[in-house]
Amino acid sequence: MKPLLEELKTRRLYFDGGMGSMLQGAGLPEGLLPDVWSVENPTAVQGVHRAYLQAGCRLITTNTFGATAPKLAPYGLTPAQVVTAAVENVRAAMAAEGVSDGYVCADIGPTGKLLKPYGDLDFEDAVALLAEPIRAAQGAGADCILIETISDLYEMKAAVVAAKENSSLPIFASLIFDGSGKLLTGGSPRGAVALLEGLGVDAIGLNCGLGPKELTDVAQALWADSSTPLFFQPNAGLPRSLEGKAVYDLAPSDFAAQLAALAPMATLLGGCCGTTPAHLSALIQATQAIPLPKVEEKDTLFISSYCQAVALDGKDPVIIGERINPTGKKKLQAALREGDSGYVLNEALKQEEAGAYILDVNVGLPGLDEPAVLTQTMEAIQAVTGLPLQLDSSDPVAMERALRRYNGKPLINSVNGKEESLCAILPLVKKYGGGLVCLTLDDTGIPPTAEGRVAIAEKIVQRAQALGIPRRELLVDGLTMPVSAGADNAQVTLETLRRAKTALGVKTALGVSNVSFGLPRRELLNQAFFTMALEQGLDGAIINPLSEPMMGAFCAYRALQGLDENCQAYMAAFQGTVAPTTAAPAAPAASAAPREEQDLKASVCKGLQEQAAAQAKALAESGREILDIINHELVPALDQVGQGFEKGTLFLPQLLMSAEAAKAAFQRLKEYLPAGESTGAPQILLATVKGDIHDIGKNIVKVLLESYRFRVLDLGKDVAPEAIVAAVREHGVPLVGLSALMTTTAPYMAETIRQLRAAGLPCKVVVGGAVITGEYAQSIHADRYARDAMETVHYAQEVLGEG
Amino acid sequence: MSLSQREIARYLGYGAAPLPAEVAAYARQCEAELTAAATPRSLGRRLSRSLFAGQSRDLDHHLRHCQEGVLYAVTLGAEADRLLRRWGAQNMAKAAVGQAVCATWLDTLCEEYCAALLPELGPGVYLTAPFSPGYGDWPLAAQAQVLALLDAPRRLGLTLTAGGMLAPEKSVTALVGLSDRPGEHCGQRCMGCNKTDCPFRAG
Repeated sequence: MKPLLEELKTRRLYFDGGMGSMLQGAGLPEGLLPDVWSVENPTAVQGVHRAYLQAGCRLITTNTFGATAPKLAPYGLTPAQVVTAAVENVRAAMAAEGVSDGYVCADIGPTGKLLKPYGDLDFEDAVALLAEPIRAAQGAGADCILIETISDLYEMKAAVVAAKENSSLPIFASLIFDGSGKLLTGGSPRGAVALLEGLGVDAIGLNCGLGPKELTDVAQALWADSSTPLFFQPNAGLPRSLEGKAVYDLAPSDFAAQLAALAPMATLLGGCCGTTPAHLSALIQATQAIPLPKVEEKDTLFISSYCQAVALDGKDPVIIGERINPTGKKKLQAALREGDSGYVLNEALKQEEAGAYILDVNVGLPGLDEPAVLTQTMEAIQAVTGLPLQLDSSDPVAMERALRRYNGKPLINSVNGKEESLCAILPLVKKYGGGLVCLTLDDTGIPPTAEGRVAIAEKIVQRAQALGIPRRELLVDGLTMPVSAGADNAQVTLETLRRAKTALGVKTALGVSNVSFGLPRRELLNQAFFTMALEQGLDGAIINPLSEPMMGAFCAYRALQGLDENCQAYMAAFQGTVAPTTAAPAAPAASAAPREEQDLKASVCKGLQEQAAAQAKALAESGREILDIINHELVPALDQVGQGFEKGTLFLPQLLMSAEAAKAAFQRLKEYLPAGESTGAPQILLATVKGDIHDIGKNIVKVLLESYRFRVLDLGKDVAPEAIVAAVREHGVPLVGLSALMTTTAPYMAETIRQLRAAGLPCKVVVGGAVITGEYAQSIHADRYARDAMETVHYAQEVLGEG
Repeated sequence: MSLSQREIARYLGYGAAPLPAEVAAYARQCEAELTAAATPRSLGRRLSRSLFAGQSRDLDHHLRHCQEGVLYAVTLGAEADRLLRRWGAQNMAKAAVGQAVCATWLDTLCEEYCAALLPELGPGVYLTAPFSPGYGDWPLAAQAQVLALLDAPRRLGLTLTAGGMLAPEKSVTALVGLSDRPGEHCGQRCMGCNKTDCPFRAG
């Protein structure tokens, strides 16, 4: 028998159809996990396989959709037992039917859990969970891994990584879309192609969710973007509810006729819920004469996050925001060292609002644990924006860790012509996927000529292709050198771009602004050079999207090049006729013109963030003592608002607006304080307890404490008691604030306090949250129950003195 | 879509008082961003009340005139969770308002779901108020059974965390009883609840 991937090229193979409903027909009781019958009722399971074999199906799926440890545990079974039995059932059915050209597809279904940050399943735990049945399938002699009915691209990534690490079998990856044309976690067909081709699966599929007709749009979207064979396994129409159960009405002939319309795009076909051997038989009849599709290699590079995809098609350039890079940025350096994710997230959101397509993330700073911080920063950014990221690190360990956990397919910055770099980076790209920025330098340095740089680019392209990384995934960086250091510098870079694009057929990238280093009015040179580079075919422009001259050059180029239909984007950017979809974070009222007569105190009371910051700056510049400004402007304003909140004359949003305004003012004032005066050991540790993933209450307390200038160490949500104890011990934190929202998680609050006390740590503990009461707080030996954020502030003042 | 400002105000603690202009502006922004990004989904299933009998005295009492019920789930999806995080990173005041906007939208979707059931059920069938795991003495642990009966992880992407929370966060599951008594329907809102000191109680 031919290996499966060879066989695929010669004829259309057919998966089977529904399994669960067939087993129910054979007497499977409702509520029993069907997988259990693989072990306990092999005759029934083999009976279903045999019926599909008789219908002509040759890709027979094991009855292991739910075969993960947590789902099997209640039945006293392990994934290894169930998968091994299930593979044997398929083999036995083939033997009984005398079929010698069939293949066993090891079925891997979803975990039924949502991955972090939306749920509580960690990416690595998902990989481990799915690795068990995959290892068993490999051991039992399956012919391929079929990952199916996955509605979250991140879970799909975990499953494919598990398959690549635990088996050598072909991987077929199938997603479930519903009528919205999006995955349940927001992913698009294009995002799916980006991720799955990056991971290098052997075929991309759609199953369940919809009938064949309703699948058409998503199928066509995949077909347009994919260079990988496709397969479709729809349901027998859309479900209808009958006596509380889903039933599927599409008759075999209709199913076959509808799916035949998609067959020219499908290398493989099959069915899902509601389909029977009769449906598959009709399908095979209707489609076996339709020639196999010829899957074309596409030229476009797709980059993605979990929900958005960006296309680099070699024609229309994209902006890669460069601001999350600590080189020469003191505030970002400080934020990274202090673990202040708020600052970094703000930089990310500002660049998104300014029009970036992709964000570069670089956290390289001496003394910083780059592998840990790059992944943390990446995950924090991915939690608040759907923009794809460019992971930027020269440390292969940091790169691998981040690449593995990245949700989607990123840009990778970078590889170069050095042997060491090629050996470290290319295998990572092969394993996890990513558009790769190729720097045209090697052990001998940066070649002074375009020929030299293109030669290095060519070497990288060849090495990448030898590993199976297609040319379309590569962006050659011509390396921008300061024109002040050599008259030819800009020309060599531009010529490198031009040749890379035309001779090598790759994409290009460039960090633009280095060209003006050492010269006055840098934006003038940057802007002109940027336009010249675009004209030479620059695809990925690494620039500051907050710079109007640069964004102006970009928008103007696109309009003049005919890439901006009706100059829509240009007008949106510069005429303001099309409102941006995401509004600036500032309070709407803050846009009112600052009024001189209004003082800082009034601005804080009214929650006018920008105004408060500007007034704080003006007061500091006027020579007034910083502490005097704080004590006689900020604090009284906060107290006044706090009292209003407590009396019920104003409410939470206004309290928080004032807190944000005071915080913004204080941030500004900090710049005038001698170094070290505003920093120091954390005073208050905040955490939402283990098991609890709701953190808005804790975050509200945090912003209020910070507005009173308390230094807060925020451990986040779902924090284990041990981690809290360790952090209190490490930082000597005098006050701990714990939050729990649910009755199911409040016991972890008790356990955390028990461990803090058992460790003999002298800290005070204040607790709060929706289900917490004064009596409960007392019963778990908390020092104080705080009903709301203001009460926490008062308690902090009591314990620590005024902020 | 335009959500009830009154409901948003109630969730923010304003009671029956109107939202101040700047807070109302946040609510409009959040609503616009939310409706542009999120895809809410819902599903339900008619089933016998006996599936839940004996789990909770309050639930048994609530459904005392019903033989059957409709179990349903509504979720704003993972995109709403991401927006909540995004607002939290931008500005906590906006995040707090966004939280109330999400809650109001979720309530509205639940109401719409129930309203859409009635024509299908035919004349003479009335719905009780919805009852969710965690109400009264119906334990939150029932959530696992609820999600399994609805096949919610696969069909809605709605899952349960180890700590017993729904994920995505902005989600509701509930059971409404089917009754032949018109008087059963006490309204979707909270006035039937016996927690009279609740800070969110309407009016």
